[in-house]
Amino acid sequence: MKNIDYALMLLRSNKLDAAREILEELLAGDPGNQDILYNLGMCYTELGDPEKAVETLSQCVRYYPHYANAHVALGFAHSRLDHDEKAGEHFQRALEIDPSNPYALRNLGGLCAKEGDFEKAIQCLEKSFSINPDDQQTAYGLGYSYFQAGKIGEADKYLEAAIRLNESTRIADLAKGLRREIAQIALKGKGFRADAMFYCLSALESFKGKTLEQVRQVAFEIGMVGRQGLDINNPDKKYTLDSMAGSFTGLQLVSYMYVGFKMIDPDLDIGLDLSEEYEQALGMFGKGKRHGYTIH
Amino acid sequence: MDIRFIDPVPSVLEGVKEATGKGIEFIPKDDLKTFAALKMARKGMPSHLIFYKREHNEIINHLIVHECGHIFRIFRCQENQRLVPFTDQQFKYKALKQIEPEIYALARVLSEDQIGHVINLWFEGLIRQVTNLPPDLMIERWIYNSFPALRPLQLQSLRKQQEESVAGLSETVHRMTPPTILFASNVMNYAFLRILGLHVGQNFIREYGTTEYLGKGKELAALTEKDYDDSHEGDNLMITRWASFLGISDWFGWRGFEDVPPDYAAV
Repeated sequence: MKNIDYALMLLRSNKLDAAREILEELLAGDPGNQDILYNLGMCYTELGDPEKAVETLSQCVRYYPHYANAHVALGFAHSRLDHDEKAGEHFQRALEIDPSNPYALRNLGGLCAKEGDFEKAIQCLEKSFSINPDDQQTAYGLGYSYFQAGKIGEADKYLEAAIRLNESTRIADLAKGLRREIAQIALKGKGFRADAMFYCLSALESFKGKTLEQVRQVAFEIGMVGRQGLDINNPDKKYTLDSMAGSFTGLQLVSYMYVGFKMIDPDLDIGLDLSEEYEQALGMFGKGKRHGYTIH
Repeated sequence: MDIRFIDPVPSVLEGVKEATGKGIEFIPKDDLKTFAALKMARKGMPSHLIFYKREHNEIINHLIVHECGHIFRIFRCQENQRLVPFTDQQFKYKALKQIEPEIYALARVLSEDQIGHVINLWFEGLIRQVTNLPPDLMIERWIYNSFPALRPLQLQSLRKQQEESVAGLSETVHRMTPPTILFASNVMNYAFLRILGLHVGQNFIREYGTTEYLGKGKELAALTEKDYDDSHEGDNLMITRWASFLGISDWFGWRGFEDVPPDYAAV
């Protein structure tokens, strides 16, 4: 049985080749069908064949010039081919037909961001997100655009929202990476952090009597907690760990993690630079303890 | 006790081997909830696996043919177009969120621990029902039409299923189950028993006569009879229709037949 609903089920399950086969067969029997043309075009784009997507979706908008989503899909296929001007024209056309089309707004926002016009990107993406608040790409796009526009607080808010929407996607990973950069900026924005240095010193003291495995446990657990984001500028917010008794501030945990990973593998880049604070702490720690610390 | 196959089971088993290139291995497993359960072979597996309870009766022959029915249906579909339903913690969270007020309301009759314990039963039970009953219908029809020798066992098996379904109409179950789940479950049971009863010439739905499930159940049965395409793709589309009809579309998803967890083949 060849059925467009089944092809859509395959598409949603990421079985793109299987969906394409059905859609191509269906199109052969019904060459002007709006849904088949649109979904086959989208399928070609997802399969990494934007030329065929442009061909199919152009046919779709020729037959159905007022089909806003087909213009969005065609614009998206053009953007995959770096035909940004044509892409923009189709997103605009979609918005003329349907001014509240969230996908047209999202893609136009993405295009503006690509061209470096972050203010316009934010405008489009904010509007799209207000219509479609469950869209992870839009949330990430907003986070990225605010970040590029230097509005770190807003950026962090949207990146956090993007991660919350679905933590298992590639977009969530990108959002996490950008949040780490934001944390780094927030951490070092005030220059040398004496508070972090003292936390590093206290970590060195605390890890002194632990085995390397115990240190690893603490560092990894902080890493896991950190995946949800640690508030390093709010000393009133406390976190707890299973591997270490007590309650800790975000900055304290980051410092402990930094020291822990330095002990496990000094060359490891954890994405946060506390090297100056760590060196200072190490110096103070070494002065106090002639033989330094011992790893078991 | 080893299984004593009756006709036509041996030829059905042979048919599975011909259709799929793989035979069936029978493995005793006494903690099963039913007499038999199937694990269909994926690419890396040498055979399909049927687990069975050592303590069983003749009905197991019907169950084995039924499970083979599932194999035939899915293997007739082109390999890259096979889809199977699945659910995970994220779907479960969404589903339970949808019925949160109903779960809280149960705190009047159940303790928190009890609720926590039965939540899984409700959720998994309903997903099993919605993803199995549509193809089960077609398989039972196929068995009835193709294997007259199995009809007496089939009837016993269906009566057992009917008794279990009717238990869902009891006052106790009513008090202890979230209304959304209870309603969906009973509507599905009604549609299933109605369609099959008409096919095999039995009245399986007598107990539903005065219940609130009748209207929706009839509607579901009608759309099933009207639109079912007798194939694996048709099964999946009908499962989707049932889920949408019952408002539980977001409770599970679909993935490729071969996209199973790495430990799937473990016995």
